[in-house]
Amino acid sequence: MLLNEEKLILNFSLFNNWEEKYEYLIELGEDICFIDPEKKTSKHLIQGCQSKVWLDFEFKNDKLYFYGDSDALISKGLVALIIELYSGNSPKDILTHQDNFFEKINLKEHLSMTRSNGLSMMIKKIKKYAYEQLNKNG
Amino acid sequence: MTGEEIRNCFPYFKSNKKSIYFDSAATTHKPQSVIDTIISFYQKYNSNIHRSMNKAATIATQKFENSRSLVKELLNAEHSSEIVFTNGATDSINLVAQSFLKKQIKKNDIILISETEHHSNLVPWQQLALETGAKIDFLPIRADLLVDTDKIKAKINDKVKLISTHHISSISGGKQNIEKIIKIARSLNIPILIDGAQAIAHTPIDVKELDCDFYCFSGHKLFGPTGTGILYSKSRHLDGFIPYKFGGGMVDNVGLHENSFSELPHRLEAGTPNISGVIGLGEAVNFVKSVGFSVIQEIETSLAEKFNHELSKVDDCVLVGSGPRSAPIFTFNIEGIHHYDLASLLSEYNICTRSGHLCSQPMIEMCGLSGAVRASLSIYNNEEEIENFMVILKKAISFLKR
Repeated sequence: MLLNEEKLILNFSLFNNWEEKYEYLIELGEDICFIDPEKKTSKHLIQGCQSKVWLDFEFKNDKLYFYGDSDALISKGLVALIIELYSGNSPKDILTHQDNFFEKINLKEHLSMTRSNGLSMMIKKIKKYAYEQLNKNG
Repeated sequence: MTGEEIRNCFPYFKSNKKSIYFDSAATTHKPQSVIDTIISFYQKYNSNIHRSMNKAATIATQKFENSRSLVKELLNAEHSSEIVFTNGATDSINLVAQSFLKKQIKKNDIILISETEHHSNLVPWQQLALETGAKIDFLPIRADLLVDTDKIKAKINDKVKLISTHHISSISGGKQNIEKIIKIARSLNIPILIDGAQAIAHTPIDVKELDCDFYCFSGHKLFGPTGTGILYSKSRHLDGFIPYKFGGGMVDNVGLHENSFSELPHRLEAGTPNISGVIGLGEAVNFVKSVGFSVIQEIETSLAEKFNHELSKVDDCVLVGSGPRSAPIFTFNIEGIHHYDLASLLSEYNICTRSGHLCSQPMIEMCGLSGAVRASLSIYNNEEEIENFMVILKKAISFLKR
């Protein structure tokens, strides 16, 4: 299990309906670990989303830390959630993590892994960063 | 038929009582008669057509070819052989690009389209231009996002080998003056293709009167099955089509090293076709005939007026394309709200719309937007749904703006 996974699952279990979940997501987005505005370039843009989503990372003390932003509220909440989930973990833990987190927080029925919300592409990108770091550092 | 009688023909609404379906420009629902026809094919006479000599195959072949006659009548084409079955409007446009235009277009020749085409009427031409060294040029567009017919001639020279544009816009619902565009193309002897994807369910088509060279549409936007489409082509062009898909069903004699193609239109329909789909499409044409375009247009005009009136009361709403509509299609943004957020919330309230660049990225960018929300209605929608939609729209807006 990743560092903040249990806490996030607990938080989402407190909500009774999608409105509350969306409100929470939007609040998460307000406190997102912002990507450096200068890095909001095509290099850090997640392709294929209906909204613009940028994602960057930093590797320090053997852990990966992520930074992002989006021009849409819900996407921004999603990036913030993903950052919260994966940041502070080792590349190996990120790569071996089972992708059933969204089922556990009952968000999958609302935000299906379609191309339109880019969720799966954000996760792919995070795993790609983790894979690259793992290979770089043996 | 009344609006309520029409709605009752569509089982989707019985299974989805809480849903508001405003995404008919993406695909329409299917009447029970179309669904029954498809089931009946598999249950009663499933077989391959134009090949097997058995009773089931004879029925299937007759029904398949009857669909061709029904489409011929729907479009008022001269002959059934001018109707080619494809798997959709995109496939039809690719067929014209690859089988008709490719053999005659050279480096620096021009394919004339508009910046307001959806991707299906842009990407096949981009690909052909890449393959042949030809260029794409764009018809001038007016403020209402339709082709400026007064300025077409300035774009035409002897390099232009084909004009292709849409009949009704998938973004604004506006109708092009295709009569005038075709007349200009005809007078200059340039072949013209009309992409009828968004027109076919909303307005009667008479290809003889229009005098266009090609007309195409998708079956699934005409209450028919997905994976079916039509290319109408004038016989004189079709004769010169060089097939670009090869295999069974499109040949008469096959030796180990050579073969001879079948007659038209079969030589352009290689492989076992979507038999149940095509037969279902024939039934969809029957359905449209039974409703009639005068009723369709009466219902849709009334729905569009109501929707427009109600939407005008929503604060900060900006419509894309403001001209008169020939289809109840509304593309809009709410200032200060991202289209993705709005569509996500509408979806949670069981409202089906579409958002994003709507498969018309150049047009959306031309309008200075990153995307928009599209609500597209059809004959099975009603005024109550419009009223409920507006209540939910305002609720979603206040959720996102607080």
